[in-house]
Amino acid sequence: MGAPAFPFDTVLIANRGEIALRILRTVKALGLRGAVVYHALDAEGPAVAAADVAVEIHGPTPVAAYLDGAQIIAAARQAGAGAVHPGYGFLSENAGFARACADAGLTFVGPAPQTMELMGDKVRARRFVAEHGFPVAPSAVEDDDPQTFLDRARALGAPLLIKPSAGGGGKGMRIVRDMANLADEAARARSEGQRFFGDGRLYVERYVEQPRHIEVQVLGDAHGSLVHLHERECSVQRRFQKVIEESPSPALSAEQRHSICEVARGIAATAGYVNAGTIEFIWGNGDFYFLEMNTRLQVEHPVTEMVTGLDLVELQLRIAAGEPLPFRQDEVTPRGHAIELRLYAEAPARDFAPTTGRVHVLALPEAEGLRIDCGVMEGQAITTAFDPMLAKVVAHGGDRDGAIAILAAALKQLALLGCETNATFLGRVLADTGFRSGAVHTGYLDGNAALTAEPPLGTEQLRAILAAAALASRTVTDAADAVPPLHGVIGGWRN
Amino acid sequence: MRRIRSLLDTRSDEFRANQDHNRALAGELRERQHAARHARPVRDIERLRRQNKLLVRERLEQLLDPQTPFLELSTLAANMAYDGEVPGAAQVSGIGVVAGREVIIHADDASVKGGAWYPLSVKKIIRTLDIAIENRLPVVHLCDSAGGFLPLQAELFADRYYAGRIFRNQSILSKMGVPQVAVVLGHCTAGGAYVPALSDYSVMTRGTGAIFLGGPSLVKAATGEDVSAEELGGADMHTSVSGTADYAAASELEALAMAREIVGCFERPAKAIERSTPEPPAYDPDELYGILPRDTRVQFDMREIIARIVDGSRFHEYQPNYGKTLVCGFANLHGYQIGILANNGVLFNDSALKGAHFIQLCDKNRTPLVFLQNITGFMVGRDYERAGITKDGAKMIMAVAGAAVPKFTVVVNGSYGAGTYGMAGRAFDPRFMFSWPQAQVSVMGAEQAAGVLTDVKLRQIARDGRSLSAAEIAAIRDPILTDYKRQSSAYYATSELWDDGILDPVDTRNALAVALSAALNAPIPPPHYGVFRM
Amino acid sequence: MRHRFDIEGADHRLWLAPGDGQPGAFRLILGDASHTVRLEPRGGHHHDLVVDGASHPVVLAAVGDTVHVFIDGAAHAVRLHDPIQAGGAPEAGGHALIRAPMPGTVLEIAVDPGAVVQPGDRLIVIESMKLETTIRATASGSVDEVRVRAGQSFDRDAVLVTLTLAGEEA
Repeated sequence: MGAPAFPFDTVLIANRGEIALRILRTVKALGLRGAVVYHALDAEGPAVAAADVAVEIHGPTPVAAYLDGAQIIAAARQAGAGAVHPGYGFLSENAGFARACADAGLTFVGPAPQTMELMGDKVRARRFVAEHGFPVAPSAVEDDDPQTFLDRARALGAPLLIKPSAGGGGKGMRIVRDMANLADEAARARSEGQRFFGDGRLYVERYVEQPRHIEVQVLGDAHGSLVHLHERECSVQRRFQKVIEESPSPALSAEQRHSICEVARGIAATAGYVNAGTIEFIWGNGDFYFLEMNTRLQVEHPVTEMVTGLDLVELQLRIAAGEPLPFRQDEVTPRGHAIELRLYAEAPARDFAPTTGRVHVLALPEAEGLRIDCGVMEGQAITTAFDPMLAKVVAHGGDRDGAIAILAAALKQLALLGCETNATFLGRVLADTGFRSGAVHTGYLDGNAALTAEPPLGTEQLRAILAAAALASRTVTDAADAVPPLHGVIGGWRN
Repeated sequence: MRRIRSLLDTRSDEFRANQDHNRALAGELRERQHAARHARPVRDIERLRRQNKLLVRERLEQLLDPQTPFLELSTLAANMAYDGEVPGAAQVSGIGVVAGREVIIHADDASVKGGAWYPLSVKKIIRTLDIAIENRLPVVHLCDSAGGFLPLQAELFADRYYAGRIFRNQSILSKMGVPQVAVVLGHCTAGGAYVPALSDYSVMTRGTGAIFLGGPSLVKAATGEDVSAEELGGADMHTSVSGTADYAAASELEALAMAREIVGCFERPAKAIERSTPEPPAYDPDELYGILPRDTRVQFDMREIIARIVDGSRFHEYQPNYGKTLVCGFANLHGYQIGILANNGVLFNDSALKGAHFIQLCDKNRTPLVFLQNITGFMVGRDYERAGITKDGAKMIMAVAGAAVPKFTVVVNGSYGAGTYGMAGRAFDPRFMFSWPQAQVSVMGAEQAAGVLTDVKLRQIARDGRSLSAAEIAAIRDPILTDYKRQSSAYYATSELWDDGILDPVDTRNALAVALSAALNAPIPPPHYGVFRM
Repeated sequence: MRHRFDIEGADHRLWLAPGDGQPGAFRLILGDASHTVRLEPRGGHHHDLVVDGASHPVVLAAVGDTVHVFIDGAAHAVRLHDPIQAGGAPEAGGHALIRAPMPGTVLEIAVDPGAVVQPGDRLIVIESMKLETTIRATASGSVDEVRVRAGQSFDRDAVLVTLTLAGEEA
């Protein structure tokens, strides 16, 4: 199937950073034109450089620009695009935007708006899943009265996890172990929900201690065919945001794997899901509960791509173009083990505080089985205006240890200078016996100071760093060069 | 140039005995230097610490480029004056590298009598600034002085080469375009106030640095005004109100860093001559200890000394078969070509003529001169006078005095009579002059002089018709000899600043190299002489 | 030693002395120890760092007073202190500078210039990614200047508020 098979010849990517670049790659490989929108802060980024067309968008804040559907649709028209790929985040789960695209005659690369409304709303999705007999955790929702919410939450009993109904990405989530803190935590979660999602409604559920986060990739076409592409485990998290994802999950037996993947397929099929989506579960003590569904491409989709050999973006585009899935469930055969590391601009030792700077040097290693989806370029400023993720380092090995070995070697060579990153922290996690044994849970990193703290520099290490810094400092070498040769040879002689 | 073939038997008893003797002398030098630098009453050190001041040598280490040489001058100045209570004459002087520039440093040592200026302090400071003038070396003054030592003011205030000369020299340096930085780390009172004021740049520390013509107590006595040192002449006042100083610093470290930055802005003059690749001596300089005889009257071959100082021990000897008591020739020192004149015995007519000729060759050739002194004088006697020994000696003195190239003098052993003059003694303005520990400087040898003086005494007694026993003669002679020996010793010479310091012989190569390099900051004028009596 | 470098808040002193005459060779002086050091270019920012004969691949970028050093899989930002400022001058007599503990954006400004504050009083609320952080007064005094406005983003260590410390003016 070549380009003529698509009802559009240009795809606008309504996103930025690494995902914009990653989607562009497939778009261009399919013989289509790739267009991007960008805010001025991203003008020096790699997506703009790689796109066939780039249209600047504006907003009161940089993020607001990427959330401005009307402006993006206008940009799509300007770029001559027939389809819009939303990536992840921003407008990717906004049904209103999906509708506006359809109204503008643009193909939205994602599920139908009504599916997004159903499965993208935590409260509705949960109710839908429970009604159809799939497992969910005990929970309570907020209707309109905050007091009712607190009462319902108390009825569930501790420990609890509060989240904004409209949320995602861990923003605004709070664990309550002591009911005395419930009101305070709820108020804070509401304020953050309001700020990030424009919706202060909350949702609370039983918090599973030491839970594992396991999710299943699903893919459905418009012709009634729906497959799962196996699971990913994303339990290594900090502040509810994923740091390391892998497939297959080291926690599951073949039987459990089959069971969780089939449940996911059942949920998606029941919802009549079309295009790529992910069903997230909480896994603990052998049980699993439906957590939520992400009606979009996930950050960690490369893990699935590497074990299945599929290009999820290509499949998304083909499904959006009305093509049927080109394979059946029994033709999906995962091979080996893939692990993704998220390279963040942050300081693990300072409670993962975001860092800023400018990318002065970016040297990315290349190796068999290694894929790096990088969203920054040399010269680019790293600000706090956007998510701190800079790149994804993904490895595909014959087994888990093989993938870890590729990643460990890659981290040794991945040089990003000018902005502090979590790279050495990722290296320590890879080497940690807890991670290596696969015994992780979503609280694995919390308070694990041995992993987050930067170990003190050894004498030789420090000497080498100081030597390099001295030799690279003009002030220092100039001072050495200024010493007259005769006095340099005599050295620190005293009479 | 050929390598000198050393004839020294390093396994001989003689060598070993000499070595022990000279090592002991060097050890004594080191001990006396160490005491002069560091032995201080505890309360003086504690007072400086209380004032948050660094010791003068800590200041120097902060100022100088690390891992570069510091040639300290006149370390034992005043060691035989003021009952030995003013070590180093309360001053540190030396040549070093600051921010890559060769500079000469004058630093008051506040751990000695509060850095007060004694007569020999003044002499040492003036000598430091004379060196700056002669060699166009930028000066860093580290000021921390209680002012002139009043009980001895008659010996330091009014005369031509007394304290006023310091300020005259500073003004001349400025006129010549040789920059000076003063770092005011303590008080600069009365005359001392002019040191920073006459410097092109000055930095003051807040709290400890002060400049005033009269300190708070003097002001109180004179006018009844109550004023603190900081208010009267502190860093902020002088750098923001009076304009007497340029930069205020919060600490000594900041002040010294500022001084480094200022020196870093000075231009770097091209060296007067080119330098080739240096080479260490082929013979171990440590063997110098085994060459010098234990008895200063015993002759030795200066070529053995030269072989342990110059690059590759290579020496091009000039007129090797003429005037053999004066060894002349070319060598390299740390890459710079030098012309050496070294004594291998008394100066005869031919040696003097050879020396005068060689000096002029070097001068024409822009080759600096190094004099290695071991000289009892010019030959005396009827035949020599008839042959014009005085006239030939005058030629050598005329050549030495007139030579425009830098001259460096090392008193290796004896330095007596007119030989001292012919071999570029202090009066002939060698750029630098050093002595070895056993050096003797006097108008004639001690025994000889004591003999002459005793004879005079005995003749007076004989005129009175008395005669003396051998013991009575000895009782007259011995104190004269002791006193004469004391005053002709290297320690006395250096105490009085007749030289720029005593060197451990093994340090001679580096000391001469640093001095030579410093001297080459000044351009060498064309040769120009007076009338040679033919 | 004359040069002062900062690595993650730790102060290191060193001096680089001329080497033995080989091009690019220096001696690194750390405390009493001396090490022969040399950088061999490997194209772009890549070099081989040779310390006492042992070679290490490094990636280097000198930007202003900061040298970014990537060695053995880790990036280090090494800042060269100005020796004069490092000499100990206080930032401003009797004033306190309230700095941002992390980069972020200003959510709310709780004080106006002239306000009298006690230690612990709220000055500014910032938002850094998804956390609200309240910046509080570190000492008692009065607010001199608020250097940011609501919505403004700032980098780590940016001065947010300046205070005149109490007891200074009396």
